[in-house]
Amino acid sequence: MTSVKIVIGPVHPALHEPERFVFKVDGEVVVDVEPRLGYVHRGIEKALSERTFVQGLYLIERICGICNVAHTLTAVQAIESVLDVEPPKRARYLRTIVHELNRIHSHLLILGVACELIGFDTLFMLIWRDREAVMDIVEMITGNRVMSAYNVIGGVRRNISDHEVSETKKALNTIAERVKEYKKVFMEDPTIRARFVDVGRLSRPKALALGAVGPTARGSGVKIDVRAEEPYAAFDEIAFNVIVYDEEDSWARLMVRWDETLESIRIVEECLDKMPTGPIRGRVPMVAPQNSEGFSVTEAPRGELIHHIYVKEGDDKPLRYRVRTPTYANIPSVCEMLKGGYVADIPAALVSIDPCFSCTDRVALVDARTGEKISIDIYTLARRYKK
Amino acid sequence: MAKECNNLVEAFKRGLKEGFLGYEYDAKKRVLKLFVEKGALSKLFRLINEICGGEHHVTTITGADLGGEEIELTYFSWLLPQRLRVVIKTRVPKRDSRVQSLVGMAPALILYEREVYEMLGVTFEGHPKLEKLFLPEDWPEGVYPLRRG
Amino acid sequence: MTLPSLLRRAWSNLFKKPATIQYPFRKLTPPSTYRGRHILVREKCVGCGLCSKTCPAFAITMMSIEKRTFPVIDLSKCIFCYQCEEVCPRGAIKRGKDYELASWEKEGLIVK
Repeated sequence: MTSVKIVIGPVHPALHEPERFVFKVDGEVVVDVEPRLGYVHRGIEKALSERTFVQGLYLIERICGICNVAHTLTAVQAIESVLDVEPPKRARYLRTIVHELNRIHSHLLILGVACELIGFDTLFMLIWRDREAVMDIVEMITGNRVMSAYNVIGGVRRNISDHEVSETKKALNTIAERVKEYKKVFMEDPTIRARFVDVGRLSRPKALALGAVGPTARGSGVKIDVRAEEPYAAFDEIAFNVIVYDEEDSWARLMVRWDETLESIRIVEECLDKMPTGPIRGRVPMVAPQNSEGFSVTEAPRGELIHHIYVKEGDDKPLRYRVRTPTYANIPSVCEMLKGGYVADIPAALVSIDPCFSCTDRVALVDARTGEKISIDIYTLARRYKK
Repeated sequence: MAKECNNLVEAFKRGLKEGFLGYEYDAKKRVLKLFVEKGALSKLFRLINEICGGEHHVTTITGADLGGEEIELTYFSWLLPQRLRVVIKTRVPKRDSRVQSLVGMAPALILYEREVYEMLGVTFEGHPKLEKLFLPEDWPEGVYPLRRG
Repeated sequence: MTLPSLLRRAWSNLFKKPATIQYPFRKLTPPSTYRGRHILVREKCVGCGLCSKTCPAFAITMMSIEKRTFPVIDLSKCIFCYQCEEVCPRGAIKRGKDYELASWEKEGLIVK
């Protein structure tokens, strides 16, 4: 039995972000997978230790365009835990609203892309047209479609007016109806079921042992959701369901996202109704009061996101900043779920974990700007990044 | 919740003996921080797996060079039955930066250990494939980007 | 079966005008919170330089004109976070709605 190696990536039409997978195949069946990451390195963790908290926040926001709100929210919560700042109540609700709007647009994005990858372009275009309505709401509330720059240390930047509240509710009603229609299509359409059911199987014990997070884990029966287990922002006062499917395949993972979109719409409407009045921003010290460390965990659209920060007393820059993004945690699970499947099923399985490799590769220092092979020592490189 | 946590801590103290250096419990956020010796890590993970019946979700490892003679490793985990976040801290001296790999007990650590190895130079003995993860293949040996001085 | 509903929608979309907004012929006005080209109000500026120090992208430099210093924003570096507007003690930087920022020369990207 000879096995053939197929290399997919870094640039490939089936992948939306650059990564390289080497598949060992025997005929049409995948026998082994080896991922190769690091194509979108930007030296973010090193750069963050040389920028103040405020400057670093804007860099953190650009780790990923689609889940930018989750990154800023986690960063702001981590920095607030070391600076001993408590955001006001109204700010927590506003953060929750924008966070859930971010989740809705991210899920609609990947569900549309899933349809495109199997060739169902009509549904892809229809879903993305409805996603535009969400982007318009986000632009109205925060000022920009992506890169919202909404969360700041100590609160949020902008208040929401009554006109904006009513516009949001109107738009969300329309979106909820359409989402229910599309969800029915996913449940009943024979083409979608043929391409996604029983593809990318990931059993529950394996999902738990390999550290899968987010819809990847919830599609395999593991009931973990940071919003329910370790509530943050306004989630301790909002009731919602944790969606779990037991089918353990790509179809289940995509269905989890449809149901979560409906739940998020409900959460936003509840937050808009229950929002308390009050200030939206508090005072923040410029430097850390003592040597300490803190971490913050949130549920980004793709799963559990954790930021870990160390600060030194009297310093206005973090000592060490660590980001562990959900796609990074899902990669061992992807390698597991692709084994034993067909080559033609690779895109369908890959899209169901919602890969975001910009999030995954943000560690340490690589001089990708000049493209030159690195043969200088790290200290010279570090000097180049100082202002 | 505090009582359950005390039971856990007692079980760890009994199992690790001198390897157990201390603990901190934050009741409001439900976070249990444990300080252990680097040699006691594998025993601690085995104990945690036993106590949770395998429902142990590993989050990540952070390696940090805080400017001294040691590198601090922080392991984050979530225990499903107890609904508790566990933060395990250990220190590894820079001169002898070898730690036992825990991939056999917690397969989720396979990529995180590679990242700590390439960024900080901590060698995980027993790791099936300890090589660079994010850095390019021609990165010079012995240069660890996140070490200071 | 739901396929008919999707077919129905696709069929009716054939007769509706496209959802795409034909840009050069119809331009949308962004909402009031939109972050576009900056408007610098020179009379209010005191030359403190806080905007330049806070800018996360290092896009603002202070320039001297007739014994006063003013900020100069380089839009090719700017990330449009408007941290400068927040930190200005006199409100000399205002949010603009202009989003048509492309230019043939480098000078078109400098806001004075």
